[in-house]
Amino acid sequence: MNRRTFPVGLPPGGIITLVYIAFIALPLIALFIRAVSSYSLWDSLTSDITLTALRLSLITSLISMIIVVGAGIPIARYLSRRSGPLSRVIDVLIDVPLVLPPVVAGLAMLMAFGRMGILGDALDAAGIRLPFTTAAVILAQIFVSAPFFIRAAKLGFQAVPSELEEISQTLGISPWRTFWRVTLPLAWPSIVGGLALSWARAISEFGATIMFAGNLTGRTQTMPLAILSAMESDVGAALALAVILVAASVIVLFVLALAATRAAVPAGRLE
Amino acid sequence: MTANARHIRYLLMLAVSALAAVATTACASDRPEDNVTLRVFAASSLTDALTEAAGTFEAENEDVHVETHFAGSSRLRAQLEEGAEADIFISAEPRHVDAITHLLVESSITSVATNEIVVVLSDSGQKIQSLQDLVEPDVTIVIALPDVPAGRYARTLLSDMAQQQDFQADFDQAVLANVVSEETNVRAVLAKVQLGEADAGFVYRSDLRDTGLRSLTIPGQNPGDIAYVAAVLSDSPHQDPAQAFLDFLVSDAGQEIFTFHGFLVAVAATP
Repeated sequence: MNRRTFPVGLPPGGIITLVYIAFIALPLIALFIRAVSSYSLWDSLTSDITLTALRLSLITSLISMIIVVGAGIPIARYLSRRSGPLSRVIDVLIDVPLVLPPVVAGLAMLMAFGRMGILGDALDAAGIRLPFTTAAVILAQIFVSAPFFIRAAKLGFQAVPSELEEISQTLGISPWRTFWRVTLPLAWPSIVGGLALSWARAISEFGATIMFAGNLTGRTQTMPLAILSAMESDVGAALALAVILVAASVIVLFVLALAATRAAVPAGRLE
Repeated sequence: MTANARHIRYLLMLAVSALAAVATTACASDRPEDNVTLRVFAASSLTDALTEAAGTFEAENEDVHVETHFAGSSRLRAQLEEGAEADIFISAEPRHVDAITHLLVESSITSVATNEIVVVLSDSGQKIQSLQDLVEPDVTIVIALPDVPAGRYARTLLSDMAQQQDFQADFDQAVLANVVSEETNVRAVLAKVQLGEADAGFVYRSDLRDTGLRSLTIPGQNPGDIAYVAAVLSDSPHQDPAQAFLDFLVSDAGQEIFTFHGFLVAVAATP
């Protein structure tokens, strides 16, 4: 035996991976079994509250992701080309929402954008009231999920060899076109990966939302809030909601994983 | 012996010793002469009163440690139904105790305190001078979910008020139309009002203590309508200390703590 393997033929890393997958999969499988064996599953799946919450979750997270990607790509690109103490400080600041407990994030957003918040009077003068609105749901999602995207996209841009961009420009191609034709395709897998993480965080966002946006069916009650609300009355309904959320999330994550691998092919061809 | 066999044996030994350690700890806690930890699952509105009561009880019974776990009564009930280990359950309404009597020592069921619902007003809600003002446009109201005791009591009172001459016929609907968020527990309702984000909220009288906030009394409530009901879990390995803690809560000393924290004294011993 020249390699260290256990009798089953798996290296230690493989065995630990199996144990880990079981650790993750078992609770999910248990969730599905309990939800399916609950007689009210179908009713819960098609109930108004479920569909309303699911629609709100999908719409708000989609808008959040459009904003996160739209603003995140320029930010990540900017940060990927900077070094020095200031950019390191900015790096840390961008990661701060990751360590904040979401409820604290929600509270902080109230202190800033709430009626009594720092910008409260200014927003009021402009006729804008954010707390308890769908807009607040989106802001909460952006706050907690953007760091995942910016972080991944920045690493993606940093991995693009700057020689390639220089060559492109010496061939007379404008910086803007170079970015679209060279930089972006090469960084694409990281960008899509970051998008997947960021979206997953946004769709599961709970603490900041209930603090900043409240919990009202049709306006601010996203899937995680609907699950917790259902827990107060009917665990079966909560399980059904949870199953839908897991199923929808897994589908989106698989689609994004596929998008990341597909995108890697044309990027490879550029070299 | 091969390297692999040694590995496996080492892992097995680790597992066995870990199990042994767990078993010894588990046995140790069952020995009556040792310190007892009472796990109390209690409605979140009891947080301050029960924390103090637990401290006083611990001071008088040095071998007993009281560990409190606060959440909405319906969530606590769900956790107990799912097999969460606890010694005492204190619900903000008799319903949840009635639902799980098969898990409880029936002779131990007792009311430990009563309460009433009031409308708490934020500093920003100066425009509200009477209950009738709650239906004014632009008033923002928070309330607990209908399945949370405080939320159901509040809704019952609202429909009672709509029957009274002093209020418009659709008073309950008009107030609920001003609701901007349905919180999962009554403390969250209070927090939103304290933060000034909502003008008014339906909370327990006991929640007002120390907040300095104005409040409106709701007519038509009988003492004992809102009763906190406690019971010992039949699976509890600490029956005697658990019963002793309940006896302490209904004693004069215990009741004094509850009234100090804004509760009304226990009436009607058993629901």
